[in-house]
Parts: sequence; structure tokens; C-alpha cells
Amino acid sequence: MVEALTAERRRERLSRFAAAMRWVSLALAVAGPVILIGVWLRFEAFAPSVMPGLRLSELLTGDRIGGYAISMLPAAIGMWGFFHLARLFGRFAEGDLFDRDNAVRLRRFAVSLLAVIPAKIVAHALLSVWLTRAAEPGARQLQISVSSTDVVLFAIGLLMVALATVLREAAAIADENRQFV
Amino acid sequence: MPIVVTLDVMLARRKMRGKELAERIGMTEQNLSLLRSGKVKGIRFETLSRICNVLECQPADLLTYEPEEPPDG
Repeated sequence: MVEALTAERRRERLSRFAAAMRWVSLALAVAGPVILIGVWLRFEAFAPSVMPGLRLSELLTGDRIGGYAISMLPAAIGMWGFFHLARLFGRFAEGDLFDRDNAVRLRRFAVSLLAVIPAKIVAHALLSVWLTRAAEPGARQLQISVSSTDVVLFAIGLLMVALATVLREAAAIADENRQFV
Repeated sequence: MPIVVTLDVMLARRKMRGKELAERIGMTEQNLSLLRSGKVKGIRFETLSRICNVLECQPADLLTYEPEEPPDG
């Protein structure tokens, strides 16, 4: 009886935590594009830290819109991943822990983490070309950037792929257990 | 599956309805129906023990083994 109560309390706690994490994931999904708007409105202030060494001339509205569109390439992948993560936490909050669909959503989140890395590299290179395209020949730039953050992101992505595989197996076992009375 | 669930026979012998058994062993009628029709992968010892307790029988009264006939040829 005490064990059953403890298990129920544990599930309730997990449900509350998952519900909170669902909102955090949704907030992170929406935050990316919104923060990028702010960054591109004041890109001159952010440029030295996000694109060091880039010699910027005065940015026109078209430059900012184009830059925002390019920056949205990795951000859109991130959004897609966080929406799947939010849905996953939503299902956890509803009490559906071991479900094949949950494993699919966790795998999609992992794929989004892995896909963001090449997208970031491509976007950075495209941005450097876009922002220096009007400069005189010799001053145009093509920057290729790989940071330690990308390596960490890659490791987390691989870990998530492994966890998704384990969750898929757990879902299969849970499905089999449901066929026992 | 060569294991055949003979719960229906025991229920008839005890003149008990499936609904009553389900209530007394704390199982849903749907799950009991699946068990009666042999559409489950297995039965937990706990469930088996409750059924035996209510129907006053042995596990062997609820399950029989009927070997499958080998395919022709």
C-alpha cells in the first residue's frame, strides 16, 4: 500500500516536471526566431562576438532581412527539434511514458541537434559571404567556423540517439507487458 | 498456441458470471474477456492465484496443454 502510494506520488511529480519542461521546450522553440530578430536589429553590436574578424560596412534593411533568413536555417531546425521535445514532455505529463511514438519524438530531437551543427557551419559561411558581398574585391570574406559548442552539441546529439534507441526497446517491452493480464 | 485457457469451463462449474469474477479479482471485464478467449500472451502468477482463490480450484483447472499437430508432409 505504501509502495503504491510512493509510486503514485513519484508519477505525479514526474508529470508536473514534464508539464513544466513542455513549456520550457515550447519557450525555447519560439525564443530562437524572436531573439534573432533582436540580434539582426542591432547586428553591429553583436557582430564582433558572433562573427569576429568580419569587416562590416553599413547594413541596409535588405542585408538584415537576408541575414535573418540565413540565420533561420539552423534556428528552424532547432525549432523543429524543440517542438518534438515539447510534444514528448506533453506525453510524459499525460502519463504515457513508454510509447513507440515517444521514442520517435526523442529521436527527432536528437536528429535536430545533430543537424543543427552542419546547418550552423553553412549559415555562418553564407552570412560572411552575404554581408561582405558589396565590399571591393579582396575584402570579401568566406568564414568557416567550428566551435567547441558544436562538439558538445554533437556529443549530446549522439547521447540522445542512444537514449531514443533504449526508449524504443523499453516501449516494445512495455507493449509486450500490456499483453499480460 | 498449445496452451488453452479453460476458465469458461470452471466458471460454468462454479455457476459464476465473468462480470462477478472480474469484480472479485480486481480485473477489468475487457481483460478477463481477453484471457477467456486466450488472446493474451501470458497470465501473471498473481492473477492466477486470485482466480484460483475465488473459484476454489487449481491452476491446472484453468489451463490445459494441447500439442499442435505436425504439418502434413
